[in-house]
Amino acid sequence: MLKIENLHASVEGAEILKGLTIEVPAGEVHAVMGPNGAGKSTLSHVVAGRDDYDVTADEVSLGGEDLLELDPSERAAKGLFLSFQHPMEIPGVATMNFIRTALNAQRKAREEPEVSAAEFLKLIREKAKLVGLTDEKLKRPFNVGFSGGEKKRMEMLQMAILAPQFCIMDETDSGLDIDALKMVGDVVNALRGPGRGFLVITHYQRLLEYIRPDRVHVLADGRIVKSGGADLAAELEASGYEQFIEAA
Amino acid sequence: MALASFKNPSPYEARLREEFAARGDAAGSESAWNAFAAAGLPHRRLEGWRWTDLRGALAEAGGDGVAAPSVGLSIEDALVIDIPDGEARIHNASGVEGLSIRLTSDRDGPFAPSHAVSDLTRAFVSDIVRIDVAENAHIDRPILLRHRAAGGRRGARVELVVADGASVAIFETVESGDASFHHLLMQADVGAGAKLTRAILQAGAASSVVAGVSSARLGKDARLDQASILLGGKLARLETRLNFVGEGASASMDSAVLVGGARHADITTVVAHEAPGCETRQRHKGVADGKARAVFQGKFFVARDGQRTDADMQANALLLSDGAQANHKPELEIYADDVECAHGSTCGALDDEALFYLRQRGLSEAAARALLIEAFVGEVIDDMDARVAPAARAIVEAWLEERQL
Repeated sequence: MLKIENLHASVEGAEILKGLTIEVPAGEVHAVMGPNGAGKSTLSHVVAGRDDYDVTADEVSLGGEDLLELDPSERAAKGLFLSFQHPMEIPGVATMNFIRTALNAQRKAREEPEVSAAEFLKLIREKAKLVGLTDEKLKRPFNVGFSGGEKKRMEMLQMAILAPQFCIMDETDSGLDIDALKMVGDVVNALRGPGRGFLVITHYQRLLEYIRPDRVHVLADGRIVKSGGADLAAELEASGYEQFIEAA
Repeated sequence: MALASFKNPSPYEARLREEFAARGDAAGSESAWNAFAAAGLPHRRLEGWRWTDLRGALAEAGGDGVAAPSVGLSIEDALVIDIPDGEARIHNASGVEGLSIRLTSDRDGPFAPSHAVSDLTRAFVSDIVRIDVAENAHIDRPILLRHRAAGGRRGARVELVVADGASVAIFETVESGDASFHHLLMQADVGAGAKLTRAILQAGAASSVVAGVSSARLGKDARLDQASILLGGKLARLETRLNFVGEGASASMDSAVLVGGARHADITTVVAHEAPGCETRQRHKGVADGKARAVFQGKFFVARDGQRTDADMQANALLLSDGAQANHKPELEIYADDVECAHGSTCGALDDEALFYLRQRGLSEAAARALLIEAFVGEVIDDMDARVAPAARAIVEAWLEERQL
């Protein structure tokens, strides 16, 4: 499904990703864990197509399709979703209107019929309930005045509505309380299934108690330095990242 | 009365003098002419006109043959006044209780500001549109005032008296065609407890020049809500002068400017708080693309009697290209000691992070940019009177679409 081979990314001459290789097969959830500054957020931004980086790779593909030549909106239309670590507040942008515009832009790019206003309203109401956002919040300008936790709920709402093929979740757990963590777990577990993949980027093991990963990878100094099963997360929690920082 | 001449007239000023001298109906307006001629057309060496050189803009003649754009404002039950090419026509305005709209040549109207554009307009325009709203009359149907200049010099003058306790809404469109010079004067008197709602939508050909000045005097507890949307021209300036003369008067003054190409638009305001306890809220949003220039000059004056004035001015500019310019001059001049006056001014480009976010959700780069620009000016439009907001939104959308070509 998502295949990344020998990915290098640098910004203003400083290399952040140094030959990263990872593959997430369809239907699997992989976790990427690592210390601060390892390149976790860079990985998510580069795969999503942010153009502030100089990028080279042998391959970055989704479902066999090359992503590197596509701009961010084309990657989104191919089914790639990024849950942002720090979601934007966008004053003046009506939340529901924006999400519907995004959904229909993707559907149009895939030559699928657009979703009507009535269908969309039904869809967003249903998913908002799932992520715990009230109607009042949906009527506000996008994320304006939202707490950190509410912004993450808004990310999960968009993920549930857009139902992407592949989700990169960039530290979705940061700043969340137990109830919100459980909500994130519920959204992911509901979407999880054959044909859909997840890359869950996190600093802590907490979220992985709600989303049991198929594989865990350790990212340190721009490379995957260790991979293992779900138990590796607990091991890391106990031993810390120190060993990998030194090794790298 | 002897007709004054300019010192060192520009060719355009010389033409104006010839035109004025040849008029048959100039009687009574010589003093206005003389006041105008003493200073001439405002130019960039004057502090208030340093970014908006009216004399310079009128120096080079010639257009590109493009007709006046339309701002397409139509309101079903509006009372319509058309001023195409300087001649006013009043439609369907009779029979509304408490409202009188008529043409008059009586030049002794309320409150003419001392101002070059005012003097010029008073000198040339003898048909004055006079609107009176009777005491305590609430006029539900909005007045739609349509200024249109196909070409050449066109002036228009409007006087508005809203008597004590009355209310009225007046929506204006200013459409200026190829190589036209449009000069406009509005004088308004808003009585005690009266309410005036005003919106102005302006669009001009790239070669058009527009200079408008409005002055309004607000009585005790009077209220003005004004919003302007300007798309500019070779030069377009709307200047508003407010005088709070009665205690507890208040105003909101919002404006948005969207300019591209080599266009220029200027919002200039002076609010004089001369009575105690008055309140002003002012917001300006300027968007400039290409080599365009968006100018905002806002001044709050608080007289010694203006105790407990509460005034806030925020001006934000968004530059969409390296060649675009925004010039902001917020000013406070305060002689009272118990006031709350604030101003803020920002200038920036579209936020890269926000653009990436929107594109990640599936919006094309052009759609993401358009959404953010619309959001930037959206605050001003959202707060406009609901009868005029859809038209304002439509002209912003049309501007965005045109820009993407």
